[in-house]
Amino acid sequence: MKIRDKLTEQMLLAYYGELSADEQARFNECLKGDPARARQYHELSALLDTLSQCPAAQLPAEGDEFWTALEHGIIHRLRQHARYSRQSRWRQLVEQFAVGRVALVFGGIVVAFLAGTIIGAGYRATPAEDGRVQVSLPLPPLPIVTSAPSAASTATNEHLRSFLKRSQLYIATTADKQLACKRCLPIERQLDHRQFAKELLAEAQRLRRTAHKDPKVKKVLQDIELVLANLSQDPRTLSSEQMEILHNIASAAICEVSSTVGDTDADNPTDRP
Amino acid sequence: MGTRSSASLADIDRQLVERVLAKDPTVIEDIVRTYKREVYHLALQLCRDHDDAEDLVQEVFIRAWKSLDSFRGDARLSTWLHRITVNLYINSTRSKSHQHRKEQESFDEEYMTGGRGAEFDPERLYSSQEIGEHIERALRKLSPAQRVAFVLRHYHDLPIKEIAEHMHNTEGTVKVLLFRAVRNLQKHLSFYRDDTDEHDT
Repeated sequence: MKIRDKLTEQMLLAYYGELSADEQARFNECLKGDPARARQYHELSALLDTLSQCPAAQLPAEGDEFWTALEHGIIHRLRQHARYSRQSRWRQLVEQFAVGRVALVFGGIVVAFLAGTIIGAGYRATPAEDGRVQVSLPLPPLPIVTSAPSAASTATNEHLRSFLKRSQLYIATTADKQLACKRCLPIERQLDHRQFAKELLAEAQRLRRTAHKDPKVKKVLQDIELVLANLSQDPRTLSSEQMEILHNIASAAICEVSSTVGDTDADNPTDRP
Repeated sequence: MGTRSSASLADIDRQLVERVLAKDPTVIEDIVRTYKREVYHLALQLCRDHDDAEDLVQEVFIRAWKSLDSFRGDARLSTWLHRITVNLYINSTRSKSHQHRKEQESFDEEYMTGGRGAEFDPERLYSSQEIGEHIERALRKLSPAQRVAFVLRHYHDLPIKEIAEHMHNTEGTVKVLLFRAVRNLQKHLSFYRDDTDEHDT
């Protein structure tokens, strides 16, 4: 700050009474010895006095409606702000809630699951009004899904069906021969039918022991065994009545049992004697 | 402050401070009723415009309401409100500095380059209305900080130390601001001084 500015500042402080007593005394002494500075101080004081006497900003009168309007305006804005800040607080809470929405939904699912489990357990053990313990209805037994027949079982059934067909054919042709059936092969054109009967008989004995547990099938196999045993000996030793009975029994039984053993395949190749 | 004596105003201030410290939610409306005139006076002296002053007063009371919790009762409520007013005024004028510069340029052109001189009539200076208009224009020429320092010192009679507290500045800075404000006023009202000198002679 220049010296001249410093002096002006001193004058300003002196005008406003901001100088200390010593500074004020020195300043007054200075003014007495320097008429130019005294004139400057006088001009400054005059200007500031003018500024004080003519305040640029005029206030409305005390009872003016302006003050009432101003007060209402301020209070209205304050109330608006108070309302807005309350809403903002709610909005902030909602936003915070939105941030943890995923966690809340997950938590809700877990709570619902736990509540359902607990309520369900309580319901099962809750005594009924008449004192009986209410027991939940038994669940229907689960249907046991049977597994597909094993390869061994299927092979056994096939073997049995094959045997039955072959036996039926043999018995029929052999018996029919004896009965003079025109549809059957003549016995002399059959290769060693006794040996064939023996082989069938052995097979029947083997199957009866191991292949089938159905008593009906077992009974048929026993009958077939009997017929085959007779045929393997000498069919001509049997009387024609006995032969017919055996034939009928064997044919009917074989037909009946074949249908129970499983789906017979008509196209299955059969061993012809 | 109108017809109220300073003693009764001090009592009212003390009661209001007690209510503020007691977290009375309705105290802000009584603060508005008590201090609206005082705050508006300061705002008008700073803004030099009634509309701007009204906006500033509303902002002052809203800020006061938001900061009531932080008021510890160390100072008078009026002092506290003055500080808020000054801070808000300085902050608001920072964003308007460009506008202020344009206003200043307009003032210079009008008064210093003879634009206004064509209509200038020294005789009319002696009407108080004319003087008021010139003072008004001269005060508008001051920067916001200079205006605050000058208004608080000259019109509100606050000591420099207190002005420094209001403006969050040092006393030295306030002295410089006050000095520059007065020098600018002298410069912009120099034609009036010269003319009165001539008139006196």
